[in-house]
Amino acid sequence: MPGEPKSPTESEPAIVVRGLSHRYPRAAHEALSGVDLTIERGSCFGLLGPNGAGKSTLIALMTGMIAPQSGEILVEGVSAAKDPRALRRAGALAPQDFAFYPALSGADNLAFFAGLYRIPKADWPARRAAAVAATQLEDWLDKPAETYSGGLKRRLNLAIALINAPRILYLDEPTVGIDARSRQTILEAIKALKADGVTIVYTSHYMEEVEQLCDAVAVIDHGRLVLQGRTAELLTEAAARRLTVTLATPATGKAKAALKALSPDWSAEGRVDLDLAGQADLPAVLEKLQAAGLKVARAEYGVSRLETLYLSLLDQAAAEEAA
Amino acid sequence: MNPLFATILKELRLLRRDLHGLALLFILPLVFILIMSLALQDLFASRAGHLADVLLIDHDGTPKSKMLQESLAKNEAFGIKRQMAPKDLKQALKTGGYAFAIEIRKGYGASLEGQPDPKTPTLLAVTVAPDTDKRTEKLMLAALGEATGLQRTQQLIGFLPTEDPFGYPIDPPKVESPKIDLAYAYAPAKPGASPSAVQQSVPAWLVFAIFFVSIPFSNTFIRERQLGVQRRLATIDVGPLTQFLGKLIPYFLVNQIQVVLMLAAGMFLVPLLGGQALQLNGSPFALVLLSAAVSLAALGLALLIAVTARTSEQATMASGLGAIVLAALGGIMIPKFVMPQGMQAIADLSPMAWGLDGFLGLLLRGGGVGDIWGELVKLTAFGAATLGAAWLVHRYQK
Repeated sequence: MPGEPKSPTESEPAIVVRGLSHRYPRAAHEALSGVDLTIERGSCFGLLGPNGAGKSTLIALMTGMIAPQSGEILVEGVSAAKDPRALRRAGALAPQDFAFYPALSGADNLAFFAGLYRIPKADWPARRAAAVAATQLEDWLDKPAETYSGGLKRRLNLAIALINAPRILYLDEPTVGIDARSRQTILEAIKALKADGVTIVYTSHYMEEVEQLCDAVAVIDHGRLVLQGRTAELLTEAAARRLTVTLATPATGKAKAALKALSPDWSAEGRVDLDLAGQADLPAVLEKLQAAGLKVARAEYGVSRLETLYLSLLDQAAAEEAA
Repeated sequence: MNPLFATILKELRLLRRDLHGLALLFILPLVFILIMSLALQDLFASRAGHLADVLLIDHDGTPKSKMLQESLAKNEAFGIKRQMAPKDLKQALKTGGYAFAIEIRKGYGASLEGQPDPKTPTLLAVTVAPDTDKRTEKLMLAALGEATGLQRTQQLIGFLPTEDPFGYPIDPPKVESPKIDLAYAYAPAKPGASPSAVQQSVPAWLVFAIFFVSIPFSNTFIRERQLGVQRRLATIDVGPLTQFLGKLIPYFLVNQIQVVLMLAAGMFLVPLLGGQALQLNGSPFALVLLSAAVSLAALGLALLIAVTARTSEQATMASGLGAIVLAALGGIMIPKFVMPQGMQAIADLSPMAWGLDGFLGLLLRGGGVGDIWGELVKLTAFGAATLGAAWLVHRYQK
């Protein structure tokens, strides 16, 4: 079902963003400033950033909701400025809001949006069945959407986006505030879509989801792109520069002072995070720990979490701004 | 499925799901029509009957005073009730619901015979009830003046010779009020029928009802914005024209159903409750064109409010207050003909006044397209202008 009409140039990226800036009328600052992005076809791309960072503006521009002011957006090689209709036809958005009619049943909501997408009558039964099956809404279709739980509403929100069989699917926090069962259903649906070749642009504040689903991530802060890369590479690189030590006994003031040169992070109780230049530093750092009289219960090296990387990036950005 | 058809179908489904809100669009104007038609029945009936009741007390009791009574009784504007002198005149006015009390004092007949009593200089006295308006008072005094004038003229004719110098009899000149042909500037179904309360109330509240749909109409837009549906629609390849038409067409249909039901209520329901039946005069084709033009104007205004308002509260306030102000100005609540000249000029600026004038032109005066051409053009132009403005605002916002 999804991703069925393929572009002739399979190898080119799904989305390329170059020098994209945007300022809302009467706003003091730019919502986006000089953003460059490349999203590979068939990948899941995590778009991260704190609230108000510019993620929604970037999605609004990529989905054709608003027109670009400066810079360029190419969706499947087509310029958003030149052909916004083609851009809208290529993708579908499942917004963070429950963007459907609560008074209508799930089936009526799907039928309405199918009409807007101009889905041919012959294709409609198959499209509907696929969208409903992916979101496991079979038993709920005839009930008014206002009677759905939060999780079912999220699933209907996703199902509506799927009926267009989009080649690019924009998911804006698709699992926020829902039960574990619905979350699992949605995550499995996303994995299946990805396996079918659909390009997914995924925003979420749940880092473990992004780490699990996304092949590549970008972090935006204050409208600027602060990091972009393949998830696995970014984590490996971050892991090589960090040693996390769990202490058997609390560190004394003297011991903390002895480790000052390693820029330790003592914020977690009974644990210290140390920055390393690379793997070669590891023996020397362990010797320094011993010399400071610290008893090590456990040491983790070569393991990094996206959340840690993300938070350290934001801290770094905040420190740079303050400076 | 076609996007426009899908949008219309969705809007109809939403309307079906909100039956209470939909019923209000029909019940509210229907209640107004029934109340106003029945409440104003007597007021409109008085155009053919009595304007006010008058208590007449004859202290004189002469043939001349009786002649005056008969002369006054011929005046259809007033219902004359004769009574012996009451103990308390003011109380008699109040309990009898009279607008005036006329006393013919003793000596009235003798005065006309040329024997005035110097002790009674005024032979007629009029006491006016506190709730009688000035205009009715002036009409009463004019009627009394006419009756006494006629009596005096007849008295004078009595002094003229009845024979010429050769002894031949002379016919005395007849003194009568000239006969006046009375015609109403409307087209009654039955000859001699007069415009009724229902004939005035149905068009007025029908126009109000058509404009009243701006409240649910604008709220559907705001609700879509609040739900995030507008955000989703902006990512789908569907233009504002489809979105607007998809909403306008169902509400246009609602307006046309309102027209049919309100006219039917005037024709069949009001008579069941004791009122007069609405008569459908004028060209049916013109009626269809007019209801379409009024609907266009109302929906144009509703769309402009919908795209301009930010919250449901704003939309409800703007639509509700707007409808009431336009109704008050446009002669829906207070008929235009009772307004002062300056206010009538202001009333002519209200699209509800154009709609009402058009309906009255058809239902009362039995007109055709040619008779309501001005109203049709004004309503259509207003509808086009507001729709255009709404489109520009929507485009600017995007």
